Amino acid sequence: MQPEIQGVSIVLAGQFNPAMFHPAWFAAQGLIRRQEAEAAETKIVHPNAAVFETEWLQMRVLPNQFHAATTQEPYYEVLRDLVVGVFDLLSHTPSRAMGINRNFHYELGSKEEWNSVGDRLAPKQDWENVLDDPGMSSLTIQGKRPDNLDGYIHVKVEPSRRVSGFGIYVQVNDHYQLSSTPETWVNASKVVDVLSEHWAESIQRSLRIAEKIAGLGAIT
Amino acid sequence: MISADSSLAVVEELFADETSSYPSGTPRKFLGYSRGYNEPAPVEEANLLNLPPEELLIAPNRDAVDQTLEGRVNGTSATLFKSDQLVFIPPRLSTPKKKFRVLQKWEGYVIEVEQDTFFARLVPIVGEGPDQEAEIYLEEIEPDDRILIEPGAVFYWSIGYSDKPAGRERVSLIRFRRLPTWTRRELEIARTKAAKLRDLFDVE
Repeated sequence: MQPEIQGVSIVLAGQFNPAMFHPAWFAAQGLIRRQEAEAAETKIVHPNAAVFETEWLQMRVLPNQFHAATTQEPYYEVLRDLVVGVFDLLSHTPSRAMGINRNFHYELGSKEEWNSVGDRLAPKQDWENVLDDPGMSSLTIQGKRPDNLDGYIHVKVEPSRRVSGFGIYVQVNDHYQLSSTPETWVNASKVVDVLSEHWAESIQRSLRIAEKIAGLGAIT
Repeated sequence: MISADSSLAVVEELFADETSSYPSGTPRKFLGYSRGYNEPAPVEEANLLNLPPEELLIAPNRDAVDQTLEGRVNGTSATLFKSDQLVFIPPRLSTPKKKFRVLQKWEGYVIEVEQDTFFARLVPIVGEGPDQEAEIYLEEIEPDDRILIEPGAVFYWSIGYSDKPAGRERVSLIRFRRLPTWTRRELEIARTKAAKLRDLFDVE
């Protein structure tokens, strides 16, 4: 099943200096094309936040969060390379955790299929006695990482607001805990290592999860 | 006083998708038994800058759950920022209007560069098929990327449909990998290593 809309983002929890994340800096480092930097829509570059967009990239940096995203599938690996490039340059950035996140919006064929997804994931029998007309509005499931890294995988399922018919939204948060405790930090070279070694696996796993969920509603 | 629920509605309002056809802050429909749309959640006029952080709890285990979740790029989840981050609301990212549906995507490695073309090995990332070799015209590459074409360079080649407000186009897109330029310090380190290896193998 093909998603109607999809996207990927890489989010880091750490300590960042938003003021330096200007499109011109990315171009000066050779990380994006010069023309892209010139055409970028810069919403703010300030010590508290940097937000800009190019044709394929959405970037938002706050003092404690770095967030780079694209909704265009041809650019998934380009996004990864960009983040690898940034933190190869800024390898001493204090970092704590990283998420490789994927979003999917699927359009299901009918209301029955759509309701069936919710009923499979969150059966209503136990709710009927305490709620009138219960329905699933959001569900998050956590799983252990299948590799030997610290972290977890969160899968969130909700009705889609972006698909006009009977749509579901699946978000996979592939969370890597980089530091041993939430209070400590590691340098960002670990981000580069994880992205270089685990990207393809993460992307494929997220797709498998989303397809599995989207298929739950199939009426046989 | 603003409740946790209405705080959620306010946050949703702030980061609502621009192209959503449903009122922001309103769960659209429920999956499961559904009788239609819910009534919009009441959105109180509130200045988030003045809200005590503890009143903006929007998820029970948010600290563990959301620290690496993205914002509302194309999703629907309202959990976005920790409450203590809401002292400053950055401009929101817009909802992308262009969609690209990839039919086939390869990772390519440049093997050889000729005057007007280059040869590359293509390994599929999306779509089926074996590795292939291809000859590609330099003209196919964006002028800004041509400087990157050399043996060993990596690129991504996608073929698919691009859906825009104006209609659907069939698109072929080649993008070369960009990694940081070498710094003077890195070049010095590389030269030092090369000199050591040269001495080790006694190369003139």
